[in-house]
Amino acid sequence: MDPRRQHHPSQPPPPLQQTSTTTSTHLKPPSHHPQQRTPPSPSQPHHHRTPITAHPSATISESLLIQGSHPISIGASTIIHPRARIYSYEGPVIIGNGCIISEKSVIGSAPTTSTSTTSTSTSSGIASRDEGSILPIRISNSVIIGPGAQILPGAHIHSASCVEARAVIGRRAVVGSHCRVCAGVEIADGDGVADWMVVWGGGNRRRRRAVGRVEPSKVVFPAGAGGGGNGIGGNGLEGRVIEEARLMVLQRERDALVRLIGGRRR
Amino acid sequence: MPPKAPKGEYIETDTGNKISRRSLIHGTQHIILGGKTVIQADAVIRGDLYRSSSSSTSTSTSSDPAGGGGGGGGSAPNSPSVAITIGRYSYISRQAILRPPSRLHRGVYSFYPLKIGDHVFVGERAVVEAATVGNHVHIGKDAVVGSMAILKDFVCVLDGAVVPGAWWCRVGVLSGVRRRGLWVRLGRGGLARERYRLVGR
Repeated sequence: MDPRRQHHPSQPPPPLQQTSTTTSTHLKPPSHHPQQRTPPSPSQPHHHRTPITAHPSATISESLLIQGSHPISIGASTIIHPRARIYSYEGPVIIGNGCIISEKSVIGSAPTTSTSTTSTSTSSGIASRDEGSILPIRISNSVIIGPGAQILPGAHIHSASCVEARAVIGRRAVVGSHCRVCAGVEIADGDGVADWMVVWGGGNRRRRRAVGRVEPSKVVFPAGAGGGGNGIGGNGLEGRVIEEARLMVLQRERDALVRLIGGRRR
Repeated sequence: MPPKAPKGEYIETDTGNKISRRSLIHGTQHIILGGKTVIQADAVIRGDLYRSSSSSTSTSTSSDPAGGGGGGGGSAPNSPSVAITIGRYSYISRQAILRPPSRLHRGVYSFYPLKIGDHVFVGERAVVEAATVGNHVHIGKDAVVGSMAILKDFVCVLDGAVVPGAWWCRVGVLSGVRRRGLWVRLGRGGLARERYRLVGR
């Protein structure tokens, strides 16, 4: 039994040749891409459609590139910007509700460029160990994937986390909930990030999210600007309040994006 | 500096902009190019993320944080719907991403115009989400300029550097937050014109 024919257990096995009817016209792989990106290990005689299950309320740009043999599921009110790429060659891709996948982000690994992103010694060693096993990518609810970010196979990003621009989440890495992986940070293969952590800087410095932290790329709260100095005592509460506010702003952002890029979908 | 492109890769407009046929430009009606601007292949420019004129025009005029600096800010006849303004002799390298910043202001979540001045260089794979980029700014390759950042004139962002969101770089600052890169000596307008001339020939 070829393991690539297996479907993820949480899903009913969709027919291989059929995609969701609402989005099938937008999800064709662009024709200008060269056809030499066939996966190295299982030789596929013909390029069949990737099985996709997208919720009707998801906003998916028509220039999303989807390739691979494993099923891809996209949750409700998730927004995928143009020029994002999803590859499901090494396992299914499960994207939860209310996520924002920004442009030029790569989820999964392209068959031709998988070794060029990380150092060749480690990735080839892991790739040989993972040979034949299925590495699902799980992205939970309300996750932001920034522009140009890379999510490698086997990564699991828990809910309400934020992966900023050009960050890399390694293979089998786990990012906890309410985390923030700042711009350009690379989470190593198999690494884990605990909940409510911020990873930033050149040496992947980490700290817990504190109270009153100003969310740099999202919003500047009126209370958050001065909150860094004073309320050290009541950590958990105020941080949670700010996080709830951030998620509400995320909801607003999704609404605005649906108006802008979702208008020509129907 | 740029490798010789195959003939016919670039479209040259009336004002001298050289735009690669393989660039990925969304929402062209919301983008203003000042002329003599080069946009290379695979550069993503998100003109479709413009400020929706429905409910935010009343608040936007008073709250525009990018009022100063920038090139050609007032050149647009219908300024509420302009998403990206790029000045003269600017150079957008391949695989760079330009997207307008966004924020919540007075209960309205909206995108704000991204204004890029004259003689600006944006390196390969850079992500620019700034509100204002001044004149003669150099943004290195792999750099990330966060949302609503303001880069004043002659700022140089080093290769791979990260400028946080809502950051404000003064005139002439070298911003190298996280990489020990080379300190790039900034050329004046001559370099930008040279770059422009070499493209597409």
